[in-house]
Amino acid sequence: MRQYLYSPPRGYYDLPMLWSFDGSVLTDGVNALNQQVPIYAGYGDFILRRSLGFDRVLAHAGGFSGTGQFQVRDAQGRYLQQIPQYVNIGGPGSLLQNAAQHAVINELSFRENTQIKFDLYNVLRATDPGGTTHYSAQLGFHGVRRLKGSSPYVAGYRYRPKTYIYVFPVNLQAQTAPLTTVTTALPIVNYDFELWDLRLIYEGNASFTATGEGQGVLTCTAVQSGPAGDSIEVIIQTAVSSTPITVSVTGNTITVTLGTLAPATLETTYAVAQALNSNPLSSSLITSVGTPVPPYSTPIPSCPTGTFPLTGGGGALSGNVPGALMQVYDQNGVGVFYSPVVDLFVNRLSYYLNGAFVPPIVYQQNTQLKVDMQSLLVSAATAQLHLFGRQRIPC
Amino acid sequence: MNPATYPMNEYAPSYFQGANLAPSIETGYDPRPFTYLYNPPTLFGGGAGNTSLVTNDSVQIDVDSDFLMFGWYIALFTGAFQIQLADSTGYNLMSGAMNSGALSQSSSDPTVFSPAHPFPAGGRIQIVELEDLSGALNNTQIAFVGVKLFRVRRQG
Repeated sequence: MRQYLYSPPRGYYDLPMLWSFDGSVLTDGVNALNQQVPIYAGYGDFILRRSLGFDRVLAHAGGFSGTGQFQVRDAQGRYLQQIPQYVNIGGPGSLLQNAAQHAVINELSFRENTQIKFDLYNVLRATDPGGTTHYSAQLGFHGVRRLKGSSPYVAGYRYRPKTYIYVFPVNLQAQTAPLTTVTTALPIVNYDFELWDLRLIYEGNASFTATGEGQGVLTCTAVQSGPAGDSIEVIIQTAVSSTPITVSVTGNTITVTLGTLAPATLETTYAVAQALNSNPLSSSLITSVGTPVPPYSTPIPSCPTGTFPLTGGGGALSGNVPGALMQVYDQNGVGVFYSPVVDLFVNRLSYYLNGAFVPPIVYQQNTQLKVDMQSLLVSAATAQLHLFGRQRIPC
Repeated sequence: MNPATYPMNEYAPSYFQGANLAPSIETGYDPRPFTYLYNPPTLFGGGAGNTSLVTNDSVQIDVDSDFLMFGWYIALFTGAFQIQLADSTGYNLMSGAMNSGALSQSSSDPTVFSPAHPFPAGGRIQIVELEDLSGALNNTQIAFVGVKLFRVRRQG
């Protein structure tokens, strides 16, 4: 079947655009009617193709009475839903199959200086991973902005497109108040690059868990996320003489010698974890947690001995948990989103399943692809940005 | 070809690519996205004389425009059910009741009617039958997605 590609009207071109609504200012448990996202002048008319994030600002615990509803209006103020619509978590199904995002078919045009208006019923803001803030409670209105002129996608030379993926890490610290912006500038080398899709992975921390007698559990987790943590190992050995617990660090090897002065307390996983955390060299590599000793417990939760390498560093964390607010800039340093948006909205690996840039963004050779990220993480982690696209090879 | 034409982005869902429409002045219609919603009475899963079956219910189509129904999905449900639809003329859209498990739960990927099915202004989406299959309290909302077709003057 012949495919008809989409064309804006002659004399105009489109750029990807996402307008967001900051739901953190709302109040939980009430209705928020007549909310709006202004389409500011200077960005061009906005063509809406999907709206998303209703599950991040509305209650969706399931059931009828506890579920939030919404109703969105077009530029003329007419509702797009006949009556308020329930935000869906897929009923008995999973959140992965939800209607938290809505395709707007065919599309909907909002001219400059109009507003996307909507009503929200039974607000419940999503909570960030830290558990106290609501920066990730956003609504997104995704589509394109339409400008007069010639499309930057058009090249002035003949080229052959070749698939290419830029992969680069972004080191994020734990969330701060106010949020701190980490800017990463990726130089576009060799060839012009078209950005088609974004995938973001937060790398897990390497760790090990060992169990001794009396259900004593010792868990050690690498401070630095990613595969670097896999090179750390912890050796726990029994005492050779009457000593307290000692910790020594050589490179990435941490050696713990159990104490014997008062075995009932010094050999517990709790005591070992405390010793590891109080040693500055050890605590710069790993964070340790041991089983607290309940009063009069028998047997005492003692620490196992042996060599324990940390493993699993770099494994991808769930893409369904927000890790940061992010902004992507085009080659001229103009944001692709109006303001930083929660990564879930533009990450192909999140449950919204869409990280595509339509139409693609072109970065010419020797320009920069700049990304801002504002961490919402509980602890420091490395995010791997995967930018899928094409290089233009002149021919 | 228009130089601003998008390339097909294979990473993007189809609805996100944009859809070319014939100009309204040629078709005589101005299509606008719209969703009709069906909020049936709460189904109590039968037993003790409670309702587990709804028959001959309907969703009223607004009188301002015709409605072209592209697809449908379950906006909310708390248990399995089965449903059968007909249009305003009595044409059954399915030969029997359809299990909710065969219906999409996603607005961005609804279960489509192909070809899209038209409903005249003032008509009805007839719910021939809606029956609970869960045996328990079942709340549902069903979304019918499409476009309202507003008539415009065609170019002479």
